[in-house]
Amino acid sequence: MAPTKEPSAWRALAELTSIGMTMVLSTIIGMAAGYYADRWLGTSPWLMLLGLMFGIAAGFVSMFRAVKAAERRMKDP
Amino acid sequence: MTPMELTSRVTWESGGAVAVLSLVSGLVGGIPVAAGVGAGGVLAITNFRWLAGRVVSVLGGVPTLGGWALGFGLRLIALACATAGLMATGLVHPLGVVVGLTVLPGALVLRGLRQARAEHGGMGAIEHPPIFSLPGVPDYVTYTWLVMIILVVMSWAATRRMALVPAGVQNCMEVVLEQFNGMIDDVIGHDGRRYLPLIATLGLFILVANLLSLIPGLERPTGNLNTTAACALVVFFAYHYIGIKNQGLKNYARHFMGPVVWLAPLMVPIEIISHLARPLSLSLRLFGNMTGGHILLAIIFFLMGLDGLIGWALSGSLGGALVGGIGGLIMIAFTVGFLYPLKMLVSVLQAFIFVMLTMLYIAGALEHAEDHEGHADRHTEEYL
Repeated sequence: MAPTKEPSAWRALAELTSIGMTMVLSTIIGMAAGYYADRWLGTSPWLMLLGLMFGIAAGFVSMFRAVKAAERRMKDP
Repeated sequence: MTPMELTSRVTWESGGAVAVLSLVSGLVGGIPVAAGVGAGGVLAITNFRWLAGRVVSVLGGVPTLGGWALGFGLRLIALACATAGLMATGLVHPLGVVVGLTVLPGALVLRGLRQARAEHGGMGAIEHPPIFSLPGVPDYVTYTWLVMIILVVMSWAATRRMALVPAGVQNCMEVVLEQFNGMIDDVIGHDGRRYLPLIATLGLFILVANLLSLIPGLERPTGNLNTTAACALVVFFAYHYIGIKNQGLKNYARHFMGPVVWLAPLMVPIEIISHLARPLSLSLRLFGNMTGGHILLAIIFFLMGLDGLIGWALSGSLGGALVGGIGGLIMIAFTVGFLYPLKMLVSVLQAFIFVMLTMLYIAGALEHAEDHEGHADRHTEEYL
């Protein structure tokens, strides 16, 4: 078994603890952008829903990438 | 507000709350529950008035320690007997009694918080204002300057007499910067040492600013969203700039397109949103952790009443000196032994996380420079 490299654990800490926050913030950013676009163009509520969908998707993409990267590093550091 | 006024006000408020609660619970649970709530409330209020009367007389320095202890014991015995008697008669519901007993502490805390807010306004009630402030300059800016002065003086002291075999401040700073270099090597790679000035400056600034909040009487710059947002925006623009500079605008923009061309309309908004979430989460995390820790510390001080305990200890009566002195010592030991190390850990950890995420973002911006040929393949693999 290879000796665990100390910084990698810390790196995983920083990366993985920010997943939850990134998911929430992505959703909020998407929805807020849609909401203001709606107010500007008068198309309520369609752009907000679209933005919400994109925000949720962005949150999941970020989470997927972070987990994938951490997994890959755990296999071969 | 004098203690007597406070006592009567709390009595009225909790009495009203008990009456309303017992009416509501009577409608829901029947007569026994209502009687229980009422009886519990009356017990709690009687007990409170008794205790308040004793405290006032102790502060006046009237009774002896023996009399005080006797009264204390008698009160507890009387309270226990009354509660047990109520339960034994079976006329009241036990749950009701418990509910009735808990009304008063809630009313007391609420009254205290309201009082504090009315007197001083918000956190100012339980928190001393910074000991030094410049007129016309917000406190967090003043203390940001203080952090800058500390860092500049330290750098000057470290580089004043540079020696091949370092000693003193130079040695200390070299150890710190070597740590930064080690982390950069690990995350970005050896080329990343070019960005040491940016990364180490941010890290040292945030670390010193966080640790400043541990010194009583000083404002914490990172406890204000403006400071943390400024740091996060620097990171945001810096890593995009580094990415564009290293691989050109066109290649860097492909980063946002996703693995295949026809997915681009879907991927571009998603990428933009997830990149915007980065500075937001960086600034909110640092701000939230520092402010949260600070409020927690202040609330613990406030609720445990250190000033009250010390005042009691100095009141002149033996009972007050005993209770206040021991309570104050326990509180100081708890603060120094537990809360301060905890805050120190949070300060260092948050500075570290900020720096680590900055390095990760820079590494991400640099990533496609080397393996641009295998770009599509690698990315497809990453998505599967």
